[in-house]
Amino acid sequence: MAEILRNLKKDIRVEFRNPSALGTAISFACIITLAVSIVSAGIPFPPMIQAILLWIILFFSAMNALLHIFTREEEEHTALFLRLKISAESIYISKLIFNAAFFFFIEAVVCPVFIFFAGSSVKNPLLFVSTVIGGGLAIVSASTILSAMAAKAGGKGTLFTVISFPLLLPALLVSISTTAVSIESQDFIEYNNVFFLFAFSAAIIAISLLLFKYIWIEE
Amino acid sequence: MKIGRLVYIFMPAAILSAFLLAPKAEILGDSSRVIYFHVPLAMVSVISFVYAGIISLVYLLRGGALLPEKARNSAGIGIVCTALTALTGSLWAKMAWGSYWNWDPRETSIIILLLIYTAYLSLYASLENNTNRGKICSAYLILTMAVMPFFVFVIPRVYHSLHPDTIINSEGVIKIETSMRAVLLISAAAFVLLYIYLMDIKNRLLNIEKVKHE
Amino acid sequence: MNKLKKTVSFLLLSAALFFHPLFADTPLETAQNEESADNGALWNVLLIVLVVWLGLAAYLFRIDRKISKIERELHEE
Repeated sequence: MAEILRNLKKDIRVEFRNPSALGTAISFACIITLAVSIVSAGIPFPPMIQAILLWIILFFSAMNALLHIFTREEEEHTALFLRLKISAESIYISKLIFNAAFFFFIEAVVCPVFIFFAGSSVKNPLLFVSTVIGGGLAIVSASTILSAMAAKAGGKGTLFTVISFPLLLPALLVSISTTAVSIESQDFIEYNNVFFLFAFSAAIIAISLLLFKYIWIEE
Repeated sequence: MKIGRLVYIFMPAAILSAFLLAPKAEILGDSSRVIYFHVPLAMVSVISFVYAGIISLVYLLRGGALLPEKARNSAGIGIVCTALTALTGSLWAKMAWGSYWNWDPRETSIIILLLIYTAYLSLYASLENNTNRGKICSAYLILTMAVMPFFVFVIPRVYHSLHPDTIINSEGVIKIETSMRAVLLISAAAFVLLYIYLMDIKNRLLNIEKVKHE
Repeated sequence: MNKLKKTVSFLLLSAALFFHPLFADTPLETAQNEESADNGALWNVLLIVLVVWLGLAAYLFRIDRKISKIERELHEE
């Protein structure tokens, strides 16, 4: 437990030393939102299209932002020291918490900007927020372990996107349809989908915990 | 005793019976004969995925020589079969339902399987120089095994689907005419044997390469 | 191995694509013109699929024999 907190503090400190990754991720998300909004010239989108656009923006921001946490280790060659000192599970949990905080921060910036520029009003804010959190958690839980794999394979962003898309597709589909419902109406039946997203994240986190040491530790 | 070699008997038998023995379907007529190729191809796609997943699990738990390479061979056959399933299915869809692609749950699951295979093969190829390649790729397959069965087996049976209910239905009974069922069985056996034969050849080549390297 | 895979996929693809003639007919017409031109198309497709399979089988057979020969040589060493 103490190891996890220590690792987390170290990651946060390194991140603030060079906040370029955070800045790039947020700029990327805002640029896409602005681009879509400018090109549509103020014509309102139907809720389904808004949901699709929001999640595409969030997905690609994640692809951009969540890779650096492991590639930075590989580049700065601190990976070997980490491997020696701390157990694989602790590393995984600390990276997971860091990624989650990182991505929730990005979502907290992107979602209001998106809603503002899309000119929509969310009719069911509780469902909207819980879907964004659930979907975000799903994206983060898959991305953490997959970014470790992609970092071992050379740290290319394209490979990371290719391997994470099939895993995240179910979560994305569910998030999109639930977000569309939350924008449209005040229905409460769709809460099963939010539970599905949390359950999906939990399943992936559980499997990743077991698998992480095979990826991280080389012989 | 190599079972795969039986494909030389089964496949011509399957082709001949698909065209000559099998009766015409009621509404679709002769074009329904594609079922004897489409369904077995889909079966082989799923079988090769499950096989690759299982040997990945065995490799991580117990280790074993050449297992990741065998998983990669299985994925190689699987991706071709998945692509062909999607192709034959979409041609048949044009015939039966009027449009080439509908994002029906089953169709979506086959596309997801195709994406998983593509991702796995890309990962395998880009880890060329890494000694830990086997473990990383096996871990990826196990991760996707958690996702895929849900999509392929659960969702099409729960949600309304364009695919007919004859084989996948809530009663668990195969509702298809007996003569068609017999031909479908022969065809399924033929394609599974083809898969076994191709895997056999590829694995033997792997062993030969390994021996030659020493 | 890549060549084998490419050839196999090409042959299987051609086999699948050769169903194309059948899709020229609409469902209703097919049911009614049972004895006429349709059967001709059916025979043609059957023949083509058989030829494709024979090509594939010959190729696989050749590879199988070559591999068996190499394995026997390796065993004798």
